[in-house]
Amino acid sequence: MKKLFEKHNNWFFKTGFVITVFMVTLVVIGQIWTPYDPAAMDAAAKAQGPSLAHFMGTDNFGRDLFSRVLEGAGATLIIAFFVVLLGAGLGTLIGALTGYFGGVVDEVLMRICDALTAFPSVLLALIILAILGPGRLNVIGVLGLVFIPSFARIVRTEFARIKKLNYVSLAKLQGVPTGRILLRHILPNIMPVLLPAISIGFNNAVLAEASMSFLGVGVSASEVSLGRMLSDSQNYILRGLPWYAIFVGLTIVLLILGFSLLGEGMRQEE
Amino acid sequence: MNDTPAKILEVRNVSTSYTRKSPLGKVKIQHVLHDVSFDLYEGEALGLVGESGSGKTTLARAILGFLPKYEGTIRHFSERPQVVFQDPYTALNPAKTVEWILGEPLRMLGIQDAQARRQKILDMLIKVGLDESYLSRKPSQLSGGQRQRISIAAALIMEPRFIVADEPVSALDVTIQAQILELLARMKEEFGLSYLFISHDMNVVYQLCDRVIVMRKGVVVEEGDIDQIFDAPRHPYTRELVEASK
Repeated sequence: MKKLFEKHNNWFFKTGFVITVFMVTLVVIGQIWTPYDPAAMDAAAKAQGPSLAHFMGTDNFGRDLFSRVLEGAGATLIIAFFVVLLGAGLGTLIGALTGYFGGVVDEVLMRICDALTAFPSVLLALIILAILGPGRLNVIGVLGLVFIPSFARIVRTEFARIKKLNYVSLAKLQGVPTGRILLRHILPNIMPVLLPAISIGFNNAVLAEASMSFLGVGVSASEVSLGRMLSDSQNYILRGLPWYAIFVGLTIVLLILGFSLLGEGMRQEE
Repeated sequence: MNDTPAKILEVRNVSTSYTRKSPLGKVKIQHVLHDVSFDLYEGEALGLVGESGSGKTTLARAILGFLPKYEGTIRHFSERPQVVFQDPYTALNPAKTVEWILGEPLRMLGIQDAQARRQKILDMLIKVGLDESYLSRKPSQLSGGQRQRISIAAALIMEPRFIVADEPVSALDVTIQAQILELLARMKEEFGLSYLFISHDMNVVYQLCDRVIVMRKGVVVEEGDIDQIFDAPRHPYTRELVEASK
């Protein structure tokens, strides 16, 4: 951790780190404890503004918004985490193999990636989700899939560049098996490119989940997520009760800002 | 050296070329190597001299097994050769420490005990003129000369009998050049190594090699003992190279 700060000694990284740690801590706490039961209704406290009892106010059913934001942010982060895990994981695997070995497999996979990239990924996800129907697992699967090409492309370029460097030739002469060359000799050297891509990917995943849920094809109606809440909050704005949208929006902005700054900070020196 | 030293490497009639299409669609065959033959004997330092584009690096790649296609035969009479590259900045893995870089060949040799590896690495560091304070350093924390010492250590730690050195000093300052050449000469004596020493600089070759092959445009134009080549070059191209180095 100390090393990380020495390496990225800039304000982007530091600010991003503070925001991210703050938000993630809040969300983690929110998974264990919330001031109120996020689902508990209270007829006496319907559609209130921020107060000492309800610091973000309440919704139409008298449910505590702060508790619901914590729960929703948790759901969104978990979805984003698995989306990035799937996208970056498979993307790195495909990029590493195609970049290192080249040849026909490279051609075929990259043309598929081209085709996928040519189509706006959020739109593609929207269409598939509209067909499959909403639900957490569907969102993770579909967003994860549309995230693969961007990671595959970045990783492929790096592997294709590094495989020609002398230290890889040297490893071959030393009899290092190919799998080990990929994992231990090349992979650590693409981290300066992969880590910022992951942090940006995380952002895109949060945004994409929010967009999908906002449009009603994301998480199902019984589940919470920031996007779903933002969608609900529209009704409140029209009735002159803006705090719902403001607090949910602010949470999304802070989450994304934190990861963006981290990513930017990591890219600064490279 | 005894009267009939053993062969380490035999290169016979090696040719390679690539075809280039001109914008008008004419196919042009570009010879990179043309009918190259030579032998390398145990304990010998053989210089391979030529300007850039003479095919000497391609020949080195073929000998190291990195060239997928060529005609002719290359026979090795020793274990796999090791290599010291010209550019010390890409020869060492930037993400790893010196201990890891030098430990990797040992792991490949099956030395699993970390303590045993460390001892071997330390011995080798001292042999190449460094010490244990370098163990935890990364390549970015080393100078060009230090990197080249680590590269030499990485080659030697495999205990090869034959090393291909591809312009190992041409990226270094003149004073550092002399130090690395001296180190290579010392290691040759200590380990009984054979070198194929590739360079464009006749002067550098003169300092280390016993015998020289002069290449031009993929063809061997002259071959002989270093003194003979230096004092009485026969081919005009060799004469040119010798003149340029004086």
